[in-house]
Amino acid sequence: MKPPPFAYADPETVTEVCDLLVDWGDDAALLAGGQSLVPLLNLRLARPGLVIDLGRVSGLDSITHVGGSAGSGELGRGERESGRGEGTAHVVRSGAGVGVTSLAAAHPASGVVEAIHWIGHPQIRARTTVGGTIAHADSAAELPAVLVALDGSVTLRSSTDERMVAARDWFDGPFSTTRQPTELVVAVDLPVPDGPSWWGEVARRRGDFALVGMFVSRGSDGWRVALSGVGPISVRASGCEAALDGGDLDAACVALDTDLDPPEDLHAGSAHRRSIARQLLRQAVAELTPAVAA
Amino acid sequence: MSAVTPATDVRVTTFVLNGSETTVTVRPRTLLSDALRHDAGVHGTHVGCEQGACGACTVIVDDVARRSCLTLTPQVDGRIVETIESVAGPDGLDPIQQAIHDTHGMQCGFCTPGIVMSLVAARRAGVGQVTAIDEVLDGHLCRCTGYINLRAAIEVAWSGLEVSA
Amino acid sequence: MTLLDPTRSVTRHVGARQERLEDRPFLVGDGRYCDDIDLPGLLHAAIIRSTSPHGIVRAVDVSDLTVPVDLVLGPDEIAAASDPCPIHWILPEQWQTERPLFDGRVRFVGDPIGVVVAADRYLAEDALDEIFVDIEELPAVVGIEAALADTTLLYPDRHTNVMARWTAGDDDEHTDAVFAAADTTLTIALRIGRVAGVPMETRAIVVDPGRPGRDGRPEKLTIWTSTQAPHAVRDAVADVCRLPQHRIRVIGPDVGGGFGVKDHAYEDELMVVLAALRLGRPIKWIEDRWESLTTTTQARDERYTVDIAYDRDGTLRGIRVDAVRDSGAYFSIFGAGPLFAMTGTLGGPYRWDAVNSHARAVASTTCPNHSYRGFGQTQATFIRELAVDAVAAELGVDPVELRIQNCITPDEQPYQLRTGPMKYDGGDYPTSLRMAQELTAAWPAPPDDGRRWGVATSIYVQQAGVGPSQGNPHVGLQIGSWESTTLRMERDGTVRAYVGVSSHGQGHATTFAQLIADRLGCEPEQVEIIHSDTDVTPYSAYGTAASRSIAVGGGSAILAAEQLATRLCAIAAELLEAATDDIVLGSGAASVRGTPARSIDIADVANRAWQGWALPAGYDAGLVEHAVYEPPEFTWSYATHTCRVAVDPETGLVEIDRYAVVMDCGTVVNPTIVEGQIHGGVAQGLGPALCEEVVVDETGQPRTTTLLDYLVPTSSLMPDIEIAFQVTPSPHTPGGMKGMGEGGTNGGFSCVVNAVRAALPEAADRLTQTPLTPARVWRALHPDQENP
Repeated sequence: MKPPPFAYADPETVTEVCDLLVDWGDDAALLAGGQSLVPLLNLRLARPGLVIDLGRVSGLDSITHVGGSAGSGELGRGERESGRGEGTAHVVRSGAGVGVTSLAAAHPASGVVEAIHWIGHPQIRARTTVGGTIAHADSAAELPAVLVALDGSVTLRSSTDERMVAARDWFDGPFSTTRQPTELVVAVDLPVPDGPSWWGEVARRRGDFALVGMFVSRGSDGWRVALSGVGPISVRASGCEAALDGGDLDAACVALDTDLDPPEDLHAGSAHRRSIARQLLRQAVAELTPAVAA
Repeated sequence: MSAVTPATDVRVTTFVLNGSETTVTVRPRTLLSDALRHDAGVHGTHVGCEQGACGACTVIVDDVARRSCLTLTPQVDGRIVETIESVAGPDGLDPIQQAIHDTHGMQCGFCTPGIVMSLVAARRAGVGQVTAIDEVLDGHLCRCTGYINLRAAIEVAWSGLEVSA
Repeated sequence: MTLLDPTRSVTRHVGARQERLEDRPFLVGDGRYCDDIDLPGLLHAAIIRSTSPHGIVRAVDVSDLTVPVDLVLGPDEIAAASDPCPIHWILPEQWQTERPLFDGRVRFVGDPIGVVVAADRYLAEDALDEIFVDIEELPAVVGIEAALADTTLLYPDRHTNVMARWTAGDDDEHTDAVFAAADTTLTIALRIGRVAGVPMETRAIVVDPGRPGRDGRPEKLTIWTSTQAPHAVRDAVADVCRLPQHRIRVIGPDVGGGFGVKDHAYEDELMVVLAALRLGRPIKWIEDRWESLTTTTQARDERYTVDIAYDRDGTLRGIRVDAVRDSGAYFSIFGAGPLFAMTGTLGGPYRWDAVNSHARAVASTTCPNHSYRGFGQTQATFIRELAVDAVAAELGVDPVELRIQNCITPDEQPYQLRTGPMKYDGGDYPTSLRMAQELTAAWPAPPDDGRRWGVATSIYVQQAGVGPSQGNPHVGLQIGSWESTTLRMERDGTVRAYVGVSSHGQGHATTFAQLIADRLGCEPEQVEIIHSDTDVTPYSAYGTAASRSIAVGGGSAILAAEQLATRLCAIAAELLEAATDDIVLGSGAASVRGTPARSIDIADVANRAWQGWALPAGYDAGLVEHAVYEPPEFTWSYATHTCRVAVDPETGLVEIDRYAVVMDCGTVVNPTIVEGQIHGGVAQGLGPALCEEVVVDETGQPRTTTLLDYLVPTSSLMPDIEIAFQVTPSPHTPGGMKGMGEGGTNGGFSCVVNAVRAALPEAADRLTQTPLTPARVWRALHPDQENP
């Protein structure tokens, strides 16, 4: 299975990328790590007129800590942040070209670190970029669920504009986002929860796409729960969160069922996925609750 | 300012291959696995799936193990690429290769070069034995050995190393 | 059959953990597989395939083709230039005895129609994008029930989709009587899912037509192909492409796994040969993984109803199976052979009063279903052992003790099977089970972690090897199954062995060298095994398959080595002025038994032989021996597999916690290699038990087309395996070896599935379809949930 013919460009600046996107629009495919795009090219399921290789674009590979009472700087993992409210929220901002393994080394939340650890095998993970996986928008992937759980955001640039899109407005269908064809993802913001966090996943074999993946955190603003593998896009289980905020785990499991409408596919059915989700939720709550009670 | 290479054109890619500067001139859509095998003259890297799932094509680029079947050739321009041909030394096999032999961790040999490259990269990065077995090896498919002897090979190869768990 | 005279040779390599002699090139990336072969002017092919599961081909439209190509060979030209592929195994009521490369119709998604040839594979695939095949679609036929309904016929002339039908074992009247007389019976319906072989190296062929000969056809057509059977490929090329055999050379280079799926020449490969003949240029075709998962022959895919009759005291009385196999679009060379092997080996190690099968093979619009490791014996083991476990559960007795109670004992050997003119060739099945009990008794108790734990034991007796050749036609098999070896000792005492079987990972270069070195008193490193070149290596219609290489191929190697040893001893005796029978070979020398000082270097003997000096009367110059081994019987290796699994009831995931094997394959030439075959065999049983499944939807479209959909086991799925050996040499094979390569799959598939059933006894009635994916396990535990 060889890729179809395409033109190729490897620009060195974001401006050049955006200029190419003006000319080519949705006939261009953006090549980040390649672990998602190249398999599609090899199957000829993707047939872009132009592949824009982002590998040499400068300015997309920094990680900065934004906000927080300690300003930008190093925080220990799981350390509680004393600031409250959005104005002082600590956010980890990754350039789109940052490797997920670098993000895992920088983000204080253990749930984020663990989620990244579940991305594929080391050989795949080493080539997965934050921007790439968030733009590819596979609902069975880990970071989209994390983004949705933490109310993160995506920064986009075009030749005329720069804008930020909140997580809840970013994913709009399977493998689909609200990115316009002339826009490039340049940064992804992942807030740091001010409490403990957890990632759990059930896959058929280690490294496979999740049957169900779940991010859970408990912070000063309450519980956050988001799932991968349970729908066309990552799901924020808001009914479940409300029940957890109310302290009722059983009600949370019931609410979780309602929050989800999982698909039937080769690997699992919808009632099965709901069952797995409930089990993950119970595991998460058991892990996170003692830490809070301390 | 980089130009757009049209689909029908070829493009020069220069990289260090197993210690020597190498130039291939191929269409940009040419997968690195194919460029290595058919244009750069090294055929020890094998193609098993062209989906990144089997690991047979694994090479090392800038010290990182990656799937050459998911790499377009121009992506390695200016980079350092290592394939299986670089692993054995003038004095003999690398301990990883020797261990695979000693434990009978190879039968048909098709998946072996990719596994060796993943393990070489892991060892170089200080990855511990448990991670090498539980995660690095899991990124490879083998149909002959049932993996048991490959796990034993990793234990042997790692036994002389000082790495983190 | 005379075995090695233990006093003749003083070197012992058989039985040693000889390290593999062939490893180095593979370890350093110097393997030479098909795609590593390059030729001047080499062109590259892609196959034009049907995108429809069923239809009549109306046209192949190349009018939009802009990509530069060297050839588009369409189906009509292919049909005109070829004769049908013979099918070697003809079973009762089987009408399909040959298969044309193209008959006007396509019958599965991926069915090859033609060939495009271009400067490289990228361009050839670009050309495929611009070629349109106009197919008048017919309804798809997917699944056994749809096939049996005969609503849509794949071969309208035949009036049915049933492709073969037979009964095996005791007749119905006798079987009915046994069942009526037994205390009670159980009936279980089972479904084994379809699997794919997935060798890591996909199929491949390089065809070099060379230069034209006096008749304009190639003087010598040379073919390299990733095959288990080069002579079978040559036979097919000669028959299909209408070429005389002596002008065809087929070479098997290094082969990256076969497992049965590379035991024949495929239609698309033969089309590539035709393209090369048409163009007069060398052409390479490498199958891609999509093609491997959809067009390389697949396996299993059978439906069973098994009845078992038994007495309340645990005595097994009868076993009866109704089996239907989905054979896919058409038969390959061994037809419905796997189902035949299932019906033949159903009885296993037990004493029955009746063993009976009714079997049918049906056609469907799916990939042809053919050979794969186990070849029906995996299914026989599974059905039988599952039924025996069900009896044990019903009686409330220990399942291993129940087995021991019913096993054929050593003093009943050789034991006449009820399913054919075959006899087991010795073995101690009760002790195999007892040894397994000892191994498992040492397992620590499982933790109380909320998971459901289960243990199962399966025992199988594997029919290994094929033969005698004379007997093959009686079961419908149209090829012979003997093997031969030509041994040549060079002037310096080193040895070249030309063998008929091929190697694709089994380590023949080492094990055959061990066998030969023992007889010649030299080191294995001094013996080179040459295989897989039809210009050079002896004819083998069967190739490497049916776990026959070490027993039948190795048997011929031993015979040739003993002939050569006799010749060496006779020449040495002449030189040492001793009797031939007093000469011993060892450590590179021939010496007089009891007086080691009276010795002569083997190289000296060899040189004299090649120069024609001082040869005894009746001996010509030279040191070449050729021996043919016609196996008088099958060999029957056997093993007990026991495993313990943990099932997570919330996710349906299964972990294999412990695994033990007690193996008897007769003389063990190299324990390390045998263990490696067990490991790999178990992995290929475990996969179909838990996660490997070919899925084709009701419209005939394959759904498992990448290795992210078709899940083969990874390391984390494979347990470590404890292995103990029994050794009961076969009385039939020179050297006493019994083939065993496929057996791990028989035991692995059966005991893993049955352990999950044992872990979830309340759901066992619903755990009857493999693989036991998390979805199926979960549904079996939650049958009341809608839309699982």
